[in-house]
Amino acid sequence: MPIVSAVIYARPEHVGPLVAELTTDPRLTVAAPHADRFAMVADTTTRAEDKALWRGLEQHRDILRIELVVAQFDDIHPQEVP
Amino acid sequence: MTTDRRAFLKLAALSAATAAASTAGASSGIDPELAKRMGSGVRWDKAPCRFCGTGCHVQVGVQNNKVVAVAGDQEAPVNRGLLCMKGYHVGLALYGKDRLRTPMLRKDGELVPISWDEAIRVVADRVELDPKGFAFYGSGQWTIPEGYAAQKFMKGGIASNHIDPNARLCMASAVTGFIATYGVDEPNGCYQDLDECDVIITWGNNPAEMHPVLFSRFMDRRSRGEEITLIDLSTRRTRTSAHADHYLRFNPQSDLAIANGILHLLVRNGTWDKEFVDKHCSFRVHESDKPTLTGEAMSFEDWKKALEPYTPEYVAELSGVSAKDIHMLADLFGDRDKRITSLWCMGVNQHTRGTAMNCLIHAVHLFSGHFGRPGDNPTSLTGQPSACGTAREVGTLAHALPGGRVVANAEHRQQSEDFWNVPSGRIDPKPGKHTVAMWKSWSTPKGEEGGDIHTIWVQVTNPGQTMPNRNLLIEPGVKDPDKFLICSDVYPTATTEIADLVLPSAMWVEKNGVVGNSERRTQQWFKMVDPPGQARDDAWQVIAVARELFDRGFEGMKDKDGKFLFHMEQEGREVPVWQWSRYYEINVDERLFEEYRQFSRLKHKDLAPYAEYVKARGLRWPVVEQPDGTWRETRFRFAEFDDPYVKPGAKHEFYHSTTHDGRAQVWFHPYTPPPEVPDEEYPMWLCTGRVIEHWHSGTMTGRVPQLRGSMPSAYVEVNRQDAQALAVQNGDLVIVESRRGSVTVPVWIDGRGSPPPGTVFVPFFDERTKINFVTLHEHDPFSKQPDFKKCAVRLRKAEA
Ligand code: SF4
Repeated sequence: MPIVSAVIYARPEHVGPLVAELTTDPRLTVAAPHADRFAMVADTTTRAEDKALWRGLEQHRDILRIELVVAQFDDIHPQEVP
Repeated sequence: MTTDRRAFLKLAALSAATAAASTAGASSGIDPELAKRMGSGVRWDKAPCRFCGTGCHVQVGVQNNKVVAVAGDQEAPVNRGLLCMKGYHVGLALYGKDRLRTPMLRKDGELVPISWDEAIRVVADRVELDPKGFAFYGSGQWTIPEGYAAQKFMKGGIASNHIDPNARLCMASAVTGFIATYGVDEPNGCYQDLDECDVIITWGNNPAEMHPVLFSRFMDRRSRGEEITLIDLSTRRTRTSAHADHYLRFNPQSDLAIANGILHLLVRNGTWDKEFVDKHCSFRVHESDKPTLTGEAMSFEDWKKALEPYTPEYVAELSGVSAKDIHMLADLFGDRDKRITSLWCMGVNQHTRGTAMNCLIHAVHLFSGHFGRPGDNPTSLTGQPSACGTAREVGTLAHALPGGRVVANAEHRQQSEDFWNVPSGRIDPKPGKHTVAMWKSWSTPKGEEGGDIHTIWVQVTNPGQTMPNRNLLIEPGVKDPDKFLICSDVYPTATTEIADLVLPSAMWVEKNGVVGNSERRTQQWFKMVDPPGQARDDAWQVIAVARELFDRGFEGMKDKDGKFLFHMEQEGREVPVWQWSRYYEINVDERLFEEYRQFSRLKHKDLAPYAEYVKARGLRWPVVEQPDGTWRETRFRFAEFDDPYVKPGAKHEFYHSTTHDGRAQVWFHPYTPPPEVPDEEYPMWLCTGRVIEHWHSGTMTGRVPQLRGSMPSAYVEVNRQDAQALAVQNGDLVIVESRRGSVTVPVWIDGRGSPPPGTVFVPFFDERTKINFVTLHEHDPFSKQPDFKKCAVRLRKAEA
């Protein structure tokens, strides 16, 4: 059950509409933008769904670059995380 | 998984990404929200990231003796809270399931567990067999104290200079370039250049993938609306090219012609900086049959004449870059109102003319006067976290001693012998074997000329995967029963696979450490968690072997007073640090660092006391004590406004000038063709390199599920036109073959990088695809650094 976060670099003039659009997807949590970029976390149920989601985002016309920043500690230390 | 736990994971993931997205400073090192959510049971401390020469600081969250979280350190000036995807996963690199936990000796072809006592005795036996045939192969990932201990063990103890780091494969040409130009190694500028330049030129460099946090400083300025021009000079289109205003693709090796073309036009247009050149530069060339790094003097008139052939048209013919673009570059350098930062790394260093090309980048900056102002410097980057700190500054190279000293100089040897309190004459005046020569010797039978190296001890690197032309340099030694390979590492690798003795090592925050990054910044951290099983610190391993030899009466492990070479006391009593149970009774790192620090003042690379680094997120040397007792770092060397060693009123001074007159050397180096070029039989160029997800040979990053998942295996980037000619599609397997060896890899067309027709690219991180069976071991004559960036190959479709 992947939880994947990333920094999204958007076309500067389209940051606002892009954030608004992505916020409508229940799998995504989107943070407030800094200039042309914002943080986002995706919560999907399968690896395939996760892959398809990111592939779609990569092809989004208003997304210039995606930098993956995953903080998924579960498969290593299940007992340590509250 | 409970909802709460999942919510927590999402929050942690979002916090990490928010830190990455924001470069805004904050008052504490960690994101307050993340710290709050993690709760009070988590202890946070600083450490530099393990995975590249940028030197970002992370905050490491530890709970129950395990690293449970990593966040960008918002107090760190290098990264200001930002990390790249490798940095965010650095903690997970500790916890691969197959960590090495016990020493193992090969018996009847199998590695079998043995005790540490036996392992230490085996290493000592190999030293005693013939100390002069014992070699050490280390790394730019050795911490400074580790490299210093190995250096002292070899040069001050065994009296053998056969010690060299893998940094020979990555930045040796930068060292020779700096020394030939300024008489002293390492950049004058720093990362501040990236914040203040108007133009960035990447010379065969792909910082978007290889130094991503540095690249983000540029991206950040751009996103704030600042006008900065990025000019990417490259042999293939990369992620950096995607953001470039000008992508100038050049033919392999023709970077020398481009630099000469710029110099030619600066002369022709009269746009060089006459005042700077008159006051601060001399001209240099190689004329002798036996060229040296310092070369011979050349008059300005002769230097100009030598450049005459490099007209934009001729350069365009050699390089493939248009004459118009050569003019554009020369015009930029001719404009002193612009601030220009040049960045380069492996593309220039892994080059059979690497020293020459390094010198030419410096020459372009010096001759045009783009030097010494913030944002206006030739800023060379390194790949490894301590290539600068350990390989270059501690001098773990076959010819060097700590603090910019060299073994061939009697005075330098005496200084080192005095600091080490060993008898005069202990240090061998003859340089040892550099990396390629060391492995060639190990792969040459005993009794044959040049076959004197019988044992190599490898620490913190993976030559089984990273040495070029493995069939020549490694395979014969593996098969030779007289040769012995010792490998200290954290995971099974392509080197432990062939080693006779495997020693399990502690890594990163499982031990204390000090490293030095690309911008002369020395960074310290403390041990935070225990290593697994019986894994132990690399420096301890060296000290334990030294003590075993001392106990056997080996003279070299005694100082002049008969004391142990690594004698350490507390309250007047010797602490037996060679016993693992006593090793952390004192801070061995601090003791080694303080001893080493004495060397740092010999060449104006002054380091502060260890305690200063404990407080700071790194300090850039020279770090000089102020009248009020504080320590001040230096951002820009050789410039009066910042460097305390420049004479007042001089404005600029190259105080280690090879001509002893305070001047830097502007070199002439002609373009010459590479040693191997595509021909009818092998018609394509092969370039090799790294990818953003993996650190070097993938030993650590390959154990991080997220990184492995993002980039699971190697590939060959092929141009669409070549793919059509070969009748292959994405994912088809092809054989990439040179005169030396072959590998089978899947094709990637128009992938992350895109080579021009006739060129292919294969990354080297994947141990199942050892591309270094294919590469060339030819090397630069001065730096001895091999060329991993160009050789001739052919491709054919593999049978299904
Ligand atoms: S840029 Fe380098 S030092 Fe910084 S986080 Fe990434 S790998 Fe680590």
